[in-house]
Amino acid sequence: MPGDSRRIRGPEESQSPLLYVLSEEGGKAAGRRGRGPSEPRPVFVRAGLLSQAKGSAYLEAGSGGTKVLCAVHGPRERGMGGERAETRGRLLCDLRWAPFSRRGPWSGSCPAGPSPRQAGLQLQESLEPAVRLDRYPRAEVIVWVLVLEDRGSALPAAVSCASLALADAGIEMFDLALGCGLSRGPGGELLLDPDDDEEEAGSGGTMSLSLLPTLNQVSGLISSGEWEGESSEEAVRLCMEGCQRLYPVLHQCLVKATKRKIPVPQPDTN
Amino acid sequence: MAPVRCCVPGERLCSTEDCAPGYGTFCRHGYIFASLAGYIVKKTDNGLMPVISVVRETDSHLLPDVGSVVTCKVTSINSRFAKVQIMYIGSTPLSNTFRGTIRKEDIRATEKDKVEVYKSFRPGDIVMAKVISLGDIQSNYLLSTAENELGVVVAHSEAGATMVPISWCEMQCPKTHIKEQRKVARVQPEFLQT
Amino acid sequence: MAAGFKTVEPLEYYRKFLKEACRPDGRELTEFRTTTINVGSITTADGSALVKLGNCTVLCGVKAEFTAPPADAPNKGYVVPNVDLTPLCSSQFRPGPPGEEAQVASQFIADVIDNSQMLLKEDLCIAHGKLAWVLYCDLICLDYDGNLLDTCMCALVAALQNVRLPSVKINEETGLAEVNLKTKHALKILKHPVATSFAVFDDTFLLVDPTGEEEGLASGLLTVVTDEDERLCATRKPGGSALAAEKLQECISRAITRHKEVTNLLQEALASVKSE
Repeated sequence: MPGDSRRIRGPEESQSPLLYVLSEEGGKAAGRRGRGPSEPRPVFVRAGLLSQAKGSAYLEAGSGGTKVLCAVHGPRERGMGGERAETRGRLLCDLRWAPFSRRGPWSGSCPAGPSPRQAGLQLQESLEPAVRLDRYPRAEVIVWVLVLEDRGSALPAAVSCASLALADAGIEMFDLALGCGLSRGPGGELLLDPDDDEEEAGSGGTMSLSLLPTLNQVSGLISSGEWEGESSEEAVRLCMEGCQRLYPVLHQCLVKATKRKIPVPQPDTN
Repeated sequence: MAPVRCCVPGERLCSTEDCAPGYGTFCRHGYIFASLAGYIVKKTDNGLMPVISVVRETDSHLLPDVGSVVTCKVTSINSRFAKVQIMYIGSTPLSNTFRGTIRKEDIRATEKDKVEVYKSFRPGDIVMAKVISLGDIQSNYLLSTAENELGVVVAHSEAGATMVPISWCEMQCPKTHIKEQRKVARVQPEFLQT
Repeated sequence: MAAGFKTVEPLEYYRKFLKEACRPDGRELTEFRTTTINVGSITTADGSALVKLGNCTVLCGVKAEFTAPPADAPNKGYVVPNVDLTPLCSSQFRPGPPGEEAQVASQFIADVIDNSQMLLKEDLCIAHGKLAWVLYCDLICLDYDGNLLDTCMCALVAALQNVRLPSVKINEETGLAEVNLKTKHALKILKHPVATSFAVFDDTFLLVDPTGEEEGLASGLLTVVTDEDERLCATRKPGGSALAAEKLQECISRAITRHKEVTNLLQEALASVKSE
């Protein structure tokens, strides 16, 4: 960031060496690395790992894949800038990418992907239906998500990770919110949980859906590109299935984290 | 006894015909669902329908409520009120403090017109108070110390030593023996310990 | 009610422990928290390391890019360290541009890189006056629990040792760079500076590797950076209570033994990556 005296300054300009790679070696990583088109990457999750946050979660999709970390603070006294005295609490979300999280150029000065504000808002809209904000009048709950490594489907991963962290923080919720991404390849085929190569190649359109699994309600849907009736229905169905496949993993992880964090209540107390 | 089961938000616990919904649950379509990650506890009181609730002991998200006794630290005072930070609700510590206000007229129950804020509290004092209102948009929680058991419990003198209460309105520094005025709480004997 | 005493009178609470020469978390005064180093976990970076000191966690990712060498030193490249304290790691930080603590930490790390000669910036030059590497080293704190500087220094050294740069040739005809991703080489790391921090309590007690809580209560802080030749690279003592010369000497000798501990851990972490 030129002129920013608050950071250590580097050169005015720099380019990624990938731009100068000799073109002869075009052999990119082979397709889906052996995955079927509607097969999501295996997911590793952990909840309650940060000491300073009320709740936290880490999600990793595939080995050497997308890595997302989330911390939840609150409920705490609502900061300034509240519009009206509301009887509901407020959910604030922030989604950022680490400067080294993408394969392309370093993105310290101009963050890659959607602007943090937009990404945060998308995350917030997907999570809000899951959180019982009516239980937190005059308070706010803040969700911070950092993408440590983006190998595709970062937003859906952020949704799943954030809802896990919210539950870990003991925030009252109607349900978990799970995210699943999809992209349409150049040949029109639908690829569930695309990695970064597929997202780049999938100029045909992308979709990101979040689902409340036990209520089976869709809490957020963002799609780009051109979608036609039947294929979009098929895409939504695939995404919902993808989310449902994620549920047992998150459920198990959350139960484990809860048991670790909270002692078993004695039946005689109270 | 069967091991206590753990649940996560959104899990269906039972039908509303079998149980009544308790803490950490919500009802939808005639069923009770969990809204917290925690342990499922069923309790039957005097033959009525058992109450099902989800327990999460550590730090249940208490928010100050009207009537609850809180422990707070005085952050600033002026001639009309003292500003405090609420640190405890009952005996549960809060991880996020809330701001509150003790107005001059709420400091004590009698002779309200003679009260002076600076003769009752000083910044840094630890005060027990009762929440009397959640306040409106502008103001914070309103607190009162107008009871014998409420008021200053820990205070430091100018010399930095912890002062000893000598009456309900005075405390003394053990180092310099200077007396300072405070609205002292009559601390319940069961709370006194080393 | 012990928890209550701690919240209301944290300093008195600590003094009771210090009298017995131990700390509330069970450590001795000269004992570090468990240190873990994990190298190369971020594949989108050219080098990365995750370091944990107890709860305090810092992730360092290094990205290498091409740039023109600085005009006043045409044979040098750049190393650009930046420490990021996001609200994710602790609710005491606000979003937006780096705050005071992050700025101080960034500058400290930059100074250590310069003073310790850990790597020569001349080695980062590819073509004199035309092309050089710039290493963006982003140190992101994920969990803030005291002793940020030690954790950052350790993460930086580990990540830099993990960096693999592709080989570059300048095409004589076009004058453009040609990058070959198949042959990669490591950086030449000449020195491995290790930081050791202390918190001073009541002008007498020295606590090594303070937690966030201890830092907040301490009357003074001190950081000593040494390299493998037992030379001092930097010391930092931001205000606070005065420290006697022999106390300072005590700190330096503790820093030297700490260097050996960290070196062993680093070698183990790097070896585990190579064997994979």
